[in-house]
Amino acid sequence: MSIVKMKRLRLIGMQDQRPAMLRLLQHLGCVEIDEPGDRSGDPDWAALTRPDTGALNRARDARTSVENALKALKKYGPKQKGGLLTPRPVITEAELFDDGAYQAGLADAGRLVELERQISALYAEQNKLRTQKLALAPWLALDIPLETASTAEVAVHFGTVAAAVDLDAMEGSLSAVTDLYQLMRAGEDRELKYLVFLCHRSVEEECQSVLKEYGFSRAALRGWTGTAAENDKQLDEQMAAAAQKLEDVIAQVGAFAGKKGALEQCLDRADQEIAREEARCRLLDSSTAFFLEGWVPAPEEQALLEQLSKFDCCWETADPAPEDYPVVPVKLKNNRFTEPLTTITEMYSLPAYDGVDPNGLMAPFYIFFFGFMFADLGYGLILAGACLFLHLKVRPKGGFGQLVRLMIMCGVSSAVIGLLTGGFFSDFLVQFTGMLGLSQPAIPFLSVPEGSGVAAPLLNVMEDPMTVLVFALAVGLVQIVVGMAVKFWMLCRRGQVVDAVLDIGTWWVIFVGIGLFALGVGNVSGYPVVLILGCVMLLGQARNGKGLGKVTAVIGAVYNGVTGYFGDILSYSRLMVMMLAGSVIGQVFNILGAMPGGGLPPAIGIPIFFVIFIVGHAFNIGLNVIGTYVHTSRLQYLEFFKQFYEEGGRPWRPLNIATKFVDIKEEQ
Amino acid sequence: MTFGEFLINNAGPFFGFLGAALAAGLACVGSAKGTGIAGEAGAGLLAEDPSQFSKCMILQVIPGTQGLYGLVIGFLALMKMGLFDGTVANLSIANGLLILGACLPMALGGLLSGIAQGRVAAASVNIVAKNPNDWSKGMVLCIIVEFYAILSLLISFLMIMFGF
Repeated sequence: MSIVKMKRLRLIGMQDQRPAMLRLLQHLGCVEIDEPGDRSGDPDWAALTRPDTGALNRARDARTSVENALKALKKYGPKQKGGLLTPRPVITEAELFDDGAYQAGLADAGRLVELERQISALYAEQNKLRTQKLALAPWLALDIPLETASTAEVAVHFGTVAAAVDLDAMEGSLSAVTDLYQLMRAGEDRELKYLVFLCHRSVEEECQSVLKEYGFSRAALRGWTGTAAENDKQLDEQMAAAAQKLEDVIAQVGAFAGKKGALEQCLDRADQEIAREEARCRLLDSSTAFFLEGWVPAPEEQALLEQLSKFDCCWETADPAPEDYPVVPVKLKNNRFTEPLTTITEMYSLPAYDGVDPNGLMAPFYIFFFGFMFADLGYGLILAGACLFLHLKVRPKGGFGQLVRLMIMCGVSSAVIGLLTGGFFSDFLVQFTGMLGLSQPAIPFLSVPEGSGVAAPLLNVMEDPMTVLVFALAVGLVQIVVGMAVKFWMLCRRGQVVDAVLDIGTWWVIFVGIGLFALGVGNVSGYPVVLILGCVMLLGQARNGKGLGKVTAVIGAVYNGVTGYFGDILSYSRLMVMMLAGSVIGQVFNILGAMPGGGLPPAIGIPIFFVIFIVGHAFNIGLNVIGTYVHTSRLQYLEFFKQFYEEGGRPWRPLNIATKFVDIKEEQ
Repeated sequence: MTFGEFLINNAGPFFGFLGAALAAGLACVGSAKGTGIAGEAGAGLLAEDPSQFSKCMILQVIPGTQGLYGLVIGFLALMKMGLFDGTVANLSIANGLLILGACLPMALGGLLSGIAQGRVAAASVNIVAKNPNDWSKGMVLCIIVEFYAILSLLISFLMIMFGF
């Protein structure tokens, strides 16, 4: 519920103990190692060097290899069942850091990467063969070897002419020149006609000029031996062999399917290696010792120092100076109730180190607002149930895990508020019993027939939206006043009591004054004194201005206050709007479902009703969950945070064990 | 019967139907344009990276809600006019005009917000393309536009339900 105090840790240790020490720090997960401060001007520090990055690069290469292996397995291996709902395996830390398993995993990854390379090579080979086969296709009808060469007496030319050329005309032209030639037609395709032309050397030049006239161009068939048909047969054999080999290699990849889990664990391990090596690269080295600078949360300092005393090292810890606050990392201290709100806070921005942790302040409002907008017993139970299932079954981590846990609370809140405001799949009970021609059941809050005497909904947004609107604005006023109180407290904590009273107290007096004025109480001889007192206090805004600036400061404060506070409070009308929109759309689906069933026997009418009911409400739930989440968050960010929040904190990122595919068993 | 006579005899239902038609029709046009713009952008990305289909589809359906809101208002208007219990012929001219007026916010709000939201959704497809993990922020930007469609729905709803 607050921001954890951080301490600057400076440590000098021996290099031969460094690997063990970094492993210990990673195990403890309570130190963020950051870049050492700039001491370039200090001759004492000039001799220190940065550690080499060889090990880091090797760790990154290993990770890339495992990642590629997993991609190859996904692409070429058999389809794996499961997916999002498969829980992660739980292993001990020793299992994660088992070097034998790691090396075996890396070796498997190496083999998979090699197999993938072979697959790519085989695909390329198949392409090449296919291209060659295509190039040979037009010559297949030819029964002379493709390497047939010219002799001293006879010139031989393989070549092509355009498909439009009339070969008979061409032969006619050639005959007009000489008889000592032979034109063999090998084949044709859409663009070209393929020919072999033989002639006696004595008439070669005349023939050439005729051929040129018809656009004869030589074909490059170098490299082939034997007839086209023989070559084609060989290519077929080679292609069959390549296809067979490809099948074999893909089968070999498939044999790794059972190792997917081991490879994922290997990837997690590689990430830990990278984290530790990255931390190591932020140290400074002398020949035998190293220097480490980092941040440790004050509550964990004692435990850390106890562990460090096992090593030959010296250290100091210090509280950060106020001018260092912008670089101090921020860690929020939360309990189980407020921790899920961190995802909402982080989406905006973490608080500054000397600011206020908003999670605890926001939690009751967030959960209530969500419940109020989403208000429906059925919807709330579905949301809470689905998120609870996800939470127990998949145990999602990080921001998504926090969101899931937050939605469990929001779902319960929606269900409770839905019950009190009479929403169960909107007006399902009324419409459904109406369709079947039954009398409306008497259920407190949810279904209240006239004159039944059971408790009516506390708020009924369909019948009496005005009351709900006023209630929404009142809740908004409460949240804004809470935000202002936090600001008041922050100012007082920094000794700015006068600012607190004049900037914030003034508006409270005005709010109370307006309230009393509206109620007509507290007037002294007809004047609303509290309101007047508040307006007089507004003059205090002039305290920092000079000359005419005093006037503009007061006018500015009045303008900003009126547009700001009253605009903010009006913004809370969305609480009622979203509540109403959800109910109305749900009701329309109920009516649509009940309409065809009204005139039909129940055996047909009820299934029709439930088809429309399920599709419609599923749509409405999806739409409303997203909309409600956005608008609840917006009320925190724009209306609530505006009053007091100081953002800009840098998240605390300790050297720890952060895994994606496996969970680490907590050691006692 | 001339057109003039028809109008004199059926003016109430005529205006009421006109309102319901505008609310449902224009809001659906807005949604169709909005989902169309977003769909085009999504298809562009999917040509490069088919694995982002689900994200693109969610962004595309977001501007589809205005059509639904229009349908809700049109439906409520028809219900209020008595179409479903057969009393629509008795609707007075004044009440018909009230229905027409009440439907206008949804008609205009749905039409224009659907198109505007479609453009935000199309731009958000860029987020999916460049930073798939941050796509939910694009969704948040889309939902901000949604609010004005909901406000249109609200005011039309209040006018229809409590107008007469």
